[in-house]
Amino acid sequence: MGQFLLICACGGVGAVARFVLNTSIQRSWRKLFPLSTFIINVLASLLAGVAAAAYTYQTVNYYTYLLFVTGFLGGFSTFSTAVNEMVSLAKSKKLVMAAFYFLVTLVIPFGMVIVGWWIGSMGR
Amino acid sequence: MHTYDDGDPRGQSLTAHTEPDHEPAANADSDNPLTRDFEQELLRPHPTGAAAARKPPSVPLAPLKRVQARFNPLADVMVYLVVFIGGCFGTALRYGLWLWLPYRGTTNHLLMAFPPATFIANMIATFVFALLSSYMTQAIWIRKRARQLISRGVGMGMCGGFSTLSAMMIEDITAMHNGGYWGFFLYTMVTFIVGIAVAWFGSWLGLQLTKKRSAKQAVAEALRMQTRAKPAIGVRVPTDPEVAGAHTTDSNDELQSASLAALAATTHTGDPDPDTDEIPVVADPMTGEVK
Repeated sequence: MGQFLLICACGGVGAVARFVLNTSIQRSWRKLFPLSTFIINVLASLLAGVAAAAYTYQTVNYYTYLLFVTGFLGGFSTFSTAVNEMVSLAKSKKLVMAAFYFLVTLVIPFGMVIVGWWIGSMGR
Repeated sequence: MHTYDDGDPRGQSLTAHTEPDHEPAANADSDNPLTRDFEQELLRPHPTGAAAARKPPSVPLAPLKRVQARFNPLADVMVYLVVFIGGCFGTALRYGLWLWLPYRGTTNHLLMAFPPATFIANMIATFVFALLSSYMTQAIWIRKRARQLISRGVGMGMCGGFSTLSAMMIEDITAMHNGGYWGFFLYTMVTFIVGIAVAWFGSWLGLQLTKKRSAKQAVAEALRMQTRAKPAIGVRVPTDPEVAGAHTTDSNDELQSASLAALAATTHTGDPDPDTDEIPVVADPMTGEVK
């Protein structure tokens, strides 16, 4: 039970971190492209790749992995905001931008997981 | 009735005010130059002075204002609290769902990449987020602060904590590592396409839920504009001769009905234009009295 609550608290910390980063980026970014969500997802994917590699090579134990990936990174990264930004871009007739955002959100976080995996398994 | 279909609309709307022979634009449609004028004035900001420059000068916040929530969203303790609680709750839901529906490893390469918990969590969170954000943009009857806290706490905190992209990407790479290339591709595509459909449906539903009430509010606002406070007895209200002309009462009525029509046109409620002749006998929604 304590483990469960700690994972939840990590998720809360992740959500707060996202709020801070999101607000700071949106303050200076005035363009159409939703940069803040994109940066957040890219960062979360990179860290998730590192964590997955670390867990696979038994550098960290399962509980730490859960705390970090399921807790913090789960609260930090967001799928719902990204999809809703795509939909609102498409609804305001910015179809090219919506398609570009869709493609970029699909490809770059995936690439970042691979890069993170490579970073995490470097010493092997 | 005279039709205004040629020339400069701005000049013609002026003639519509001053010339006594023309009919008032009571049932104004979008072709009416008067409506267009009002719409232009209402929708387009006209900055003057330094604000009209291409890059208006920005004044940095005073140090004492920088730590106040009114001026700085990063100094808002309440939002931090709400986002933290929402994030905890969303993570609890996602982790609980994951414990309840654990991923069973299969050797089937197509189904290998389908962890049910992450998919269900992402879809529910996307739907709730779309519904909430479209509802909150329309629900002007809720106080602004309450709307902000709800959309931060439930939208950003809970839905953001419930949905996750990083776990999805890890599952993708795990499936790819185990050779499930098609499964990985199918899972990612299905997640995004179903997610977009769900988000579209959610935002549509949010607009439908608020449509009736926001239309009612727009009509009430228009009524309040029409039955604006009358001057006290004995107070003489000067009338602008350029606008009102010789026939004061008539032109004022024209102007009011035209502004009402313009307001109805700009609010875009989708309702037909109100019959302005009948509005004065409708009860005032605020006080209930019939004027």
